[in-house]
Amino acid sequence: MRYVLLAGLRYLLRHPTLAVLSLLGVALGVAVVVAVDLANASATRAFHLTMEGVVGRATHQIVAGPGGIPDRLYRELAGRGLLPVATPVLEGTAGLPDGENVRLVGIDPISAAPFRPRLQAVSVNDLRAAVRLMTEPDGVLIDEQDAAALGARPGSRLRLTVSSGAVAVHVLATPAHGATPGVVITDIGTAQQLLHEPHRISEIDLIVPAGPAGRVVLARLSSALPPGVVIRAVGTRARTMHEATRAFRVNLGALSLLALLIGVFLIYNTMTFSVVRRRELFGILRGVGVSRAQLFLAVTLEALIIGAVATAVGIALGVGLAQHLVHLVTRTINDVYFAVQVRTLVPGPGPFAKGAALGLGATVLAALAPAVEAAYVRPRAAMLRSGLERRGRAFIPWLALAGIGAALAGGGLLLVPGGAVAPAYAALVCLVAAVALWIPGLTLIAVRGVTRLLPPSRAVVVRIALRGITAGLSRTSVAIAALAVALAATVAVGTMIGSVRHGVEQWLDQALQADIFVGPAGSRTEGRTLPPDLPARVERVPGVARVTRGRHVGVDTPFGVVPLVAYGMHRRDFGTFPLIAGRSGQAWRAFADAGRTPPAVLISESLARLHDLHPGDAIRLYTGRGLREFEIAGVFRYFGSTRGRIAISRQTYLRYWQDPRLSWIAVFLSPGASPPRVLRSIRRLLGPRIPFTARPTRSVREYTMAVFDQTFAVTAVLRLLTLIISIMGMISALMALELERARTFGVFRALGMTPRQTVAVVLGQTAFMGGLAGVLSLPAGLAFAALIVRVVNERVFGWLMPFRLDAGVVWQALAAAVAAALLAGVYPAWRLGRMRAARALREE
Amino acid sequence: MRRLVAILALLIAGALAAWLWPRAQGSAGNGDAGGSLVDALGAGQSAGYRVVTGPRRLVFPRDDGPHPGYRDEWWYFTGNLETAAGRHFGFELTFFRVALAPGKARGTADWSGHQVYMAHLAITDVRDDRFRYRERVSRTGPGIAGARAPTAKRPFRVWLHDWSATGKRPGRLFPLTLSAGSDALGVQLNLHSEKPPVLQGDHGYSRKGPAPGEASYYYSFTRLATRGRLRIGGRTFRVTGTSWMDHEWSSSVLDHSQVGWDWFALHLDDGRDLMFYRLRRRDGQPSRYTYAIVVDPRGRVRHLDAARVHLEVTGHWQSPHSGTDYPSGWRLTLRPLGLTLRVRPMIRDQELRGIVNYWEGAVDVSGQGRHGTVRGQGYVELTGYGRNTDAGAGGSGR
Repeated sequence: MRYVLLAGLRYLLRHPTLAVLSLLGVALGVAVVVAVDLANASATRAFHLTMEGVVGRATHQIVAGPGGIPDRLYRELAGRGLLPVATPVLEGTAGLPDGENVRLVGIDPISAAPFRPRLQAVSVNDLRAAVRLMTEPDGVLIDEQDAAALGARPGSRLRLTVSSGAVAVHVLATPAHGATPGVVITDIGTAQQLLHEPHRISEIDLIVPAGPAGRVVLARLSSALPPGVVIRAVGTRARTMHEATRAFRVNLGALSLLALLIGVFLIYNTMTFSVVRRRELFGILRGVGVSRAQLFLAVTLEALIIGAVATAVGIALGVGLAQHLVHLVTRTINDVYFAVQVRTLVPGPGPFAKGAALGLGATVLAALAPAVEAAYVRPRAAMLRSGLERRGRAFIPWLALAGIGAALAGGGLLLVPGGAVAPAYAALVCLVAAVALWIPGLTLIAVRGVTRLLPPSRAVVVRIALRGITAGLSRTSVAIAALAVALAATVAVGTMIGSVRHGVEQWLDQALQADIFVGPAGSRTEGRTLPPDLPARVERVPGVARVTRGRHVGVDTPFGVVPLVAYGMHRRDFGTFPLIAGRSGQAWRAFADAGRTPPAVLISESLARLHDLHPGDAIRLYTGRGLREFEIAGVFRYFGSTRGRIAISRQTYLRYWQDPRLSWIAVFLSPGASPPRVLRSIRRLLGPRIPFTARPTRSVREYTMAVFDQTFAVTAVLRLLTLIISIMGMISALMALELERARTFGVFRALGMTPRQTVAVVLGQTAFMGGLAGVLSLPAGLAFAALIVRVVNERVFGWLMPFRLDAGVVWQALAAAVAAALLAGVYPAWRLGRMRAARALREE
Repeated sequence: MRRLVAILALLIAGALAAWLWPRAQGSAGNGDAGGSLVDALGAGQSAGYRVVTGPRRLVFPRDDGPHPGYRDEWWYFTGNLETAAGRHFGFELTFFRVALAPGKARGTADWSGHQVYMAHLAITDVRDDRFRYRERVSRTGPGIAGARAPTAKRPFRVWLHDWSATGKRPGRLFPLTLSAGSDALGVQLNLHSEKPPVLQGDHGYSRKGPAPGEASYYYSFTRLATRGRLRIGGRTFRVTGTSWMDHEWSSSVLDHSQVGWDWFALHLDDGRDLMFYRLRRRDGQPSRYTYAIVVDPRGRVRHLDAARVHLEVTGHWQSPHSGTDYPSGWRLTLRPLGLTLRVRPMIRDQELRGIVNYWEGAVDVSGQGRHGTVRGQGYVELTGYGRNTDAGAGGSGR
């Protein structure tokens, strides 16, 4: 028994190229899975921390109307012991030298410590900074990026326009992480002076434990609050953040799945090859009396040894890759969302366990199938490959049938009612399996088809090359399948990104037709409203044609709180609602008619999908006059959130909610007006006292697209990573395949084939295989993409995205396939071209 | 050559990886970069603060209130209490005031101001061998923490949110009510002074080191009849007992050769009160700023020759929480009084770990005097035993 195992290992030692290629194939498969999973886990953790950084650890907030909270209320509540873990916040607006407004946020570094542990520059963790903030007059902290933009350094002075006039504040530090861009942090005492609010704060943040004890605290606190001051749970904000990042996380999840598939293919490819190649050896062993069980055990043991070594290498490689990936992921979050500190890996056991299971399990399983086969044939027959290939050929129809079965199963999964995401993912896996199962048959058909097209008497070399592919179909088809699936995955991911980007772009173009948007500045914008006279004053600014007035509130419905936006808009701007159901003219008439019964609303696509609502259906909302029924006049596209939203006309809103306040206005300019001049005039109107900023909508659009591109940057890199790894797997497989056939080429050479023809045969074979994989990957990739864009997206987000094919993606896939195949052929071609026929014929 | 192919394959893999992923920049350091509070408060830098340089006449009740020109100040209450059934408790309630910067803060905004208050509440449950404590820190803000001297119209008060020590009558410190904590851990105690205040050192001028300014103003009420309620884990205990109050302020820090101090405040059953402290030097030896007094039952103070008072450590306890090794048990020999006392902690674990770590606990006293057996109870404070303890403001005595 030991000798059988030793014979196998000895074989590998005498063929180090084969051994290294096997190890490399398995290790790469493990590495890609471990790396993507680790990066994924770390990204999830980073998101958690991000949310913590933005929302802090506050569970509740005490807020009041525009007048804020008087300090004496804080004193009274603290003096009664009702604020066990609480911190005051005062927010206001400050003008920068360039006229842009930023939020000035005053915090109490001592009591804020438990709330913002990541704000290390201003927590008790770094007392020196905290003490300086509290004691140095007009000391502020500014985010590193903002500071760079303003030319501010620690120790320098910065001119701010605040309600008390112009003041040169003292930049104490420019934290890179923990401060929020667009926000100037200062001590709450300093903020009170700068903002001329010596006896007032904006809100009180609280940490209240969950459970009965927390409920007692909240009940005691609520009963102590005067009218107009309320406690609000912070959960809603965290949920919004969670949703903002959901697209990102879903993406990473899908990629991790693809990585797993590609890893399995790579390993299967490598191990099958390694065993099939030694059929002769197994035949000899059986011939000298080795039993089936012994042979079987030896192959299993050998696979285990290779698997263990390769898994170790692969995990190490994966950790190295993940380190770079995590850096990239967190950089994305830092750039796009908010500052995140964690740049290290979170070494959870999950990714390692998965990698190890894959490395050992897939390796052994992949080796077993050919081992069983080798063990059960007669010893003599085992030494001939033709037998194997002949039997393999007989399997092809069955494989194709199984592929059809998998495709049908996938289709069936899509029909599972309920619209859950899991069946959609399962369908994706079925589709991948179907493609892989069809590939041997398709390869055969393709080779036969091309052979038939050739002139019968000529092109012997081409025939030889093509026949070589089908002669070793059991291995060549696996290599082609692995490359095709990997390429299909990159086509799918590329197409998905392109489609979604295009969809968002289109939507932005339609929805953002106004020229200037005046909205609340900075964070904590909920509930802030514009001064009532501002819209009229903006309308009087020269160059302003008209203004859309917006009010953003959350409205209670029988299925929970839904954002509702009331629009006071001109008829011609109604086109900013990209209606996907309902007729525009009809919808506008219903929308604009406040006296109508029932009154009309528009709802967003995701809301319609979530609750199966259509134009003409009724929706019930809790209004200022109680629960009322509204008619759905149309469904519009909205990619801004997955919670859905309701649009209503301002007149209808005023009638049912009696709330004249405004959250934002959108300004349309007259033809020929100078946008920068109008923008300056509006900013002058706002002044430093009004916590709102005016921005050109162009910048909103650019910002949104920048966010989008940043979000998908990691995806693009991962796509490239899987592509490169599968190309390397392909190279190793093809290289080994060609080298193994040295003897065949020896025969050809002996029969008179020139070295140049040998090279042509080798390169022709690999190029054909690569090209075939590339061609097959296109329909497969587009099918995957269609599934992701049209089904998964819709199920996850409730958005129906237009499908858009990018020619660049297609060319990339084809070029990658052929390049990989040619690269794989270069070394064997060079070597086989140089070899001497006699030596090759001597065998071993 | 075949070997070369394998190496080549690995090289390609490595090169691709290096090309694809730019080197991670140096990871940002995070976490525990900060030092202790003491450190941050600029131990050793007293520039700009008022400094204690020599004796001055303390004026009451004015000096019962805060002295914001000095950097540190504290009002300390410790005592031993018992229920009618004889269940024993120790308690500590302390209010610390720290000025973050010298001088007055600019402006009149509510949250401007450099004064920060910290309070510690601890209860020692002897029967259950449990030591519980809470720490609170707050700036003065819109009057959410602070202190004021008694005036003709208003009583004394030092407070931090709803924790307070409040006088009952205008114009004088006592009687006083201590109120702090919650149902989980709280005290509600009334204190009456049975003896006049004791001005420590030279009429309240207490030297802590050789340099000028290494001193504090310091007075004590050594025997306070105490009655009230303790709350622990939702249960309420009616208790009576005897407490001790210290009020001390300064801008000094310990001389650099000193690492901490051992402080004893003992109530003997014969009506005498003993106070003894010694500052420990870095080399392990007691410094020459060792101090002892005895207050007789009628309130008369006698300063003892510290050279003739001897403290011997008879036991040790290592904190399982911080790992710090504290002395735990002493033999205190007061030759001028002909008295030898055994001082033992009522429970060993009375370590308070907050912004500053220290051991402050109820102790049991027994011994032999000229007229027979002596018994008593008291409180001991041990600072500067931790490996990394900064012996600054927290350990400069009180």
